[in-house]
Amino acid sequence: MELKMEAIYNKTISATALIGFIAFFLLSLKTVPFSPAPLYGAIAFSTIMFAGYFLTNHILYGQDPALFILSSFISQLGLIMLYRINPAAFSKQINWYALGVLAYILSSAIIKYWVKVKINPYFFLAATLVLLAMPLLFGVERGGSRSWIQLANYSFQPSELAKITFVLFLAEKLRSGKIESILRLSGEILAVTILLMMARDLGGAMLFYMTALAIVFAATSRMDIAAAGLAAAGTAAVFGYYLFGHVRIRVEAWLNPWQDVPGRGYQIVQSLFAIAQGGFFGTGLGMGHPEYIPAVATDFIFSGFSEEFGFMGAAALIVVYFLLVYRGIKISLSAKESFLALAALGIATMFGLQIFTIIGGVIKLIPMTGVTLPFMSYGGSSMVMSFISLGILNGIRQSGRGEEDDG
Amino acid sequence: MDRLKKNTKIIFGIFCGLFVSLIIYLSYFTAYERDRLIQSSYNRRLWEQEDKVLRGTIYDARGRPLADTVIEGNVKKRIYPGGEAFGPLIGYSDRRFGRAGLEDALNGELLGVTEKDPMVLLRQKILGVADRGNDVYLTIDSQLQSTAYSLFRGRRGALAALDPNTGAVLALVSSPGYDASNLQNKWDGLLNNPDKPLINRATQGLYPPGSAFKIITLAAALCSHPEIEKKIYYTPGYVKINGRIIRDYENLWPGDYDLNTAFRYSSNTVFIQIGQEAGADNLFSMAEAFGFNANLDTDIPVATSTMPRPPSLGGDVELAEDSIGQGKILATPLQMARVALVIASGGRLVTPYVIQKIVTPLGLEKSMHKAEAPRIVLEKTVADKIKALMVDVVKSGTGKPANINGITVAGKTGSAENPHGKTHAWFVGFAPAEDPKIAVAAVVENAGGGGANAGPIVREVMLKYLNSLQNK
Amino acid sequence: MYGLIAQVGKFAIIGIIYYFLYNFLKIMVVDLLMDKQHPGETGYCLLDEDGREYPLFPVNTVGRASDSDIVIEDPFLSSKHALITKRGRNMLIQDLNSTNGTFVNGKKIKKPFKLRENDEVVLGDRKFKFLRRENRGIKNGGHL
Repeated sequence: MELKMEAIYNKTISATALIGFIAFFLLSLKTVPFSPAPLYGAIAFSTIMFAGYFLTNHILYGQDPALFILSSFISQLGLIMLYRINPAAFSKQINWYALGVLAYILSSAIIKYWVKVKINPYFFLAATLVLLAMPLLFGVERGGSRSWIQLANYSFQPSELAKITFVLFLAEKLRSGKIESILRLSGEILAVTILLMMARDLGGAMLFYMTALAIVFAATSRMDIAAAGLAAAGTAAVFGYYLFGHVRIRVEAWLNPWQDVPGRGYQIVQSLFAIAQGGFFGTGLGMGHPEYIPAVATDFIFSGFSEEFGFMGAAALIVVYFLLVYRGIKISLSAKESFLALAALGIATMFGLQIFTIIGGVIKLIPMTGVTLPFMSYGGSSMVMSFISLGILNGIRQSGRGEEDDG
Repeated sequence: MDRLKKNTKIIFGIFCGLFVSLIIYLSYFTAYERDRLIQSSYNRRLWEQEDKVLRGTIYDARGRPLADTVIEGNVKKRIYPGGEAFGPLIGYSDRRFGRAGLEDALNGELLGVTEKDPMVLLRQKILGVADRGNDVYLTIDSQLQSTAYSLFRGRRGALAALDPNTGAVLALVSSPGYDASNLQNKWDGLLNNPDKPLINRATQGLYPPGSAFKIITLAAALCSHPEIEKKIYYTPGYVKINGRIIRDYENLWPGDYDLNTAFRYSSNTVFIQIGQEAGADNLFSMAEAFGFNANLDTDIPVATSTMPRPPSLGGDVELAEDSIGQGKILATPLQMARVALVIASGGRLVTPYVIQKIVTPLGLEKSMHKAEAPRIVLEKTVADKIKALMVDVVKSGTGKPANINGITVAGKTGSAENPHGKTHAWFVGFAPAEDPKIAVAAVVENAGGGGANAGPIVREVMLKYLNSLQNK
Repeated sequence: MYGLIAQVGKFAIIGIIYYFLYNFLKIMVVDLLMDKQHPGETGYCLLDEDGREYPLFPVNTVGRASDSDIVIEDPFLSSKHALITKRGRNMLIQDLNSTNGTFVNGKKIKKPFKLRENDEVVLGDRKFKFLRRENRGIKNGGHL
């Protein structure tokens, strides 16, 4: 790695740690009587982060350090908010973060070598379909969607893993840049989307579908398919509005939440109140009322963050997420082979769309769909799988740069 | 590969757009939607604020408190020293009963949640005044308001008094009123009272203006047909339009009338002829010029005074009724005070306002009153002609009860027919006519003739105000 | 009291967040500058002592001759002095039997030599530094 660049990256990671110490110190002060417990949290986080940073820099040659720094930065903001909302959730989540970092390093290392192996795309498709069908068969319902599987004390969201297999399937299938049978391909994409809709995971269905469109378009340069795909999605949305009650409720809560504030508009209105309260500079950490927002630890964590750090903080967070997507796209552009380029593009698209969907939802730019905010929302599946996705991106980047640094 | 890269860049471009739109929408939200949301009554944060903050005081124009917070033991209590005369105007703020009046309209200011400048907020924190709301100073003269209120002697009615030069509201009375202190003891009684004391009649009451509207009919006719000034009208004491008969008041004899006499004695039949001469379109546009059919955007919510557009063809009955302020025309007392203001100021229309200034806990003053250029809605020569006719009304016509020795009062009476019994008594006027200092409109519901019932109230209000100006 | 500290802490945190972003934007600018390089450029350059920068292409001849890719007017240089070529991702330098020789890091080279960043290249009595262009950008990064 180049020396000067390393200096900048070191600055950013130190800034991240500093934010953590200030924030957790504030949370210590807020506890009456003064309790050092939050500071231990900061120490734990920084330890994991620096260890991860050191390892990635020394084990993984030709990696992109920005991915790790950006994701840790966001994870930390999420952890700060979680501690503030519910310290118990924090202690669970920091374990997930540690596991995520480990998974990130492992997946980066493995992918780097694995990319040379060619795998039948239908293996990935089968994995995707099985993963998505699992919760339908023996899952539990949570927050209106049936996309969780309960295993002993842990619950797991298979669709998070399916995101990766789905992207790999499409990348592998379209690596030649030609579609053998458009009917068959659309059937496969629709099967995946419909499974998600059956689990009432509308946000997920939209995410998978749009990512598929992006990959197909990038691989084939077929503007007509992209347009037809978008038109079909629009038509489906209109039909969905008239046919399904839960779709209608979401759209109406978006168009006019004020009609029924205590009922269907409740969530979004509470979210908007929080963001409004934050204003430009926020109320300050610990001075807002995230407890008024429903599902603030998961879907609405962005609103909680906006309330306490204001527009300035929220806009910066959006930019950080954007940088993450940007790095993903950059890796895709520098990939040596079309499979790798498509896989990187797919992962970056999945991230970007997910971020846009949830942030757009909580600020009422678009209808609210319950997807998690990667790295920030409370939840192990999302955290670990997001790190694995990033690890894959990183592995792709390494495989492209290996030559240079090995030589 | 090259095409793949090009497509990837296109997709990246779309992402740029999506993320930029997030930030743009968020900035729009923070800049424009924010205030409304913060002050929404659904917002639980507001209640939180309510407990922490010492609600600001509302003062009258001379610094007398009208709504104040006192601390009894550990409990904050809102008191209203002004008493009954101020209930409908000031309103109340109560956990249980909600908010009304200025307490509602100014809630954000009184709680101090409208402040956005982070440096000011920080300074307030440091100086230890962060938990104080803003104080509000009104343009209301509380003594004038109390006097005016007592003149109604409990009858249903309302009065609005304006400073004709600025539009500042000097008094805004609704009778019967209520004392908003200790609301819990009298809530049910107030709610069930058939006289509806909780409503602010001066801003929310919509009444047919009756003959007081003839000011506008006259203005429309003088503008479009200046020659009518010298015309003589004959009336047999009634008119018959499409089978409908409209009569003059009993004390008017059939015969010849010029404009001055017809206005002075408020002849319906002559004014119907004048209205016909002006035409439906001119009458309608003149009413709109005087502020009808427009939402009044001011410190407090005001019902919109309305005049439906009379049909250009075949609307003879409507035009006749409109000319004498009957029919479908409805006006608030505040709007009729504006009508007087237009004539008093020589043809200018201004937006009335009740908030003089807002003082933050740091002592900074901010003005809520947007300095707007008054709109010229009437030529000065026409306004002065109408003013002269209004002076005659008080000197020797229907408005005699409002006459004040030594001061020239200009006015117009109205006795508006309505479905609820006796006519509503209106008096609209200003004084002194040479250099108007106060413009007033008063209505007493179902009291009978305008001159006899509303005239004396307006007379006393003008006298009291003009005296207070001299003693100052 | 906590409220006051929270306000100060808030501004500190937001400030550091923007410092973080600023650094990343710097990295992004470098990325974009690199993308804008002319096709064929290798991303490496030779930096003259007096600050002149010679971008390196996949094949470069260095010498006094006017048809050299890098022309250096110096009496101590031969007309065709040295050749710098790209192999894989690396740059190799080889001497073209020049009179005064080619030195890298003080050693005279005999066979093609793989250049590393910050290597000092001496041709005749001229000293050059072998650099990656993106790093040059950072070094002078103040005005980026």
